[in-house]
Amino acid sequence: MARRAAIVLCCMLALAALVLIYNNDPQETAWAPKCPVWLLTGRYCPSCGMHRFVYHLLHGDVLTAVRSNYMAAPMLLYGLLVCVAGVWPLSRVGSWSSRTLCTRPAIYTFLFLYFAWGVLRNVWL
Amino acid sequence: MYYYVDANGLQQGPVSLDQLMQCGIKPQTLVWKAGMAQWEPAEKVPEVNNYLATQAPIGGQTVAQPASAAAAEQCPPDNIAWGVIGLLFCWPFGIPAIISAARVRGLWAQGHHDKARECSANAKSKGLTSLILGIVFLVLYTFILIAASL
Repeated sequence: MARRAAIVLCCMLALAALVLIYNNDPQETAWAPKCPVWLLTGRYCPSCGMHRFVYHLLHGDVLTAVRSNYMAAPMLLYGLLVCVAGVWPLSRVGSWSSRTLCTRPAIYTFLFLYFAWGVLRNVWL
Repeated sequence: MYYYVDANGLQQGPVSLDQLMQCGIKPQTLVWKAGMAQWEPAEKVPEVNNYLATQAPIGGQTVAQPASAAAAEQCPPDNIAWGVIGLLFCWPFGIPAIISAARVRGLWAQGHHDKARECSANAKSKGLTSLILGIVFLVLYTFILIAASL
């Protein structure tokens, strides 16, 4: 049952985070955290804009959300599917994800795309 | 290649049919292979059932199976989720986590069980560390900003 409690706790924390993000515009409030990479170098890291992405998405502004970080949606989707594979490996989605997304080639592809995006967004965008 | 569900409810595999038989599966063990719509008990999968039938206890006596020792050994969870979460929150620490996670299944398949367990534990601890570091930094930074504006 400790496992179930942990899952419920994680879901509640995630929900709390979403409520917090929904209620505070990251570009308005001083409470919004900034990326260390951006602070130090003035360049975007691959994850920069994730906070803004979630904020705008929650407010239904898909276009602004996607512009915050073009790769946020695929990266978060991959993360979500991998989490499902880890937590419910026997569910339909979880077992599919475990067999396809959790294999070594898939993981290294994700890792490569992550940093390729980090370079791309600073060079061409 | 076959996948099956171990006694702890964790998905294992891929393994060949021969390896599958070394894993101590029972008629009720859930099994899946490419082409199947969903998980099925081993007894519903013809070629697996055939093998199980040849291993059935004779005259009510349980046949001693040398494979039972191997059955107790299960591939540890690969903890990829921890690696990905770690990477998204704090990539400098997420990289080792995700690489550890990626190595678990391969090491296990090659028989390096201790290394596989080590990588599994590493992936989890490093992923968790980068998540916590990410959050701690963000909170700390915010407090400094707020303090500076007072």
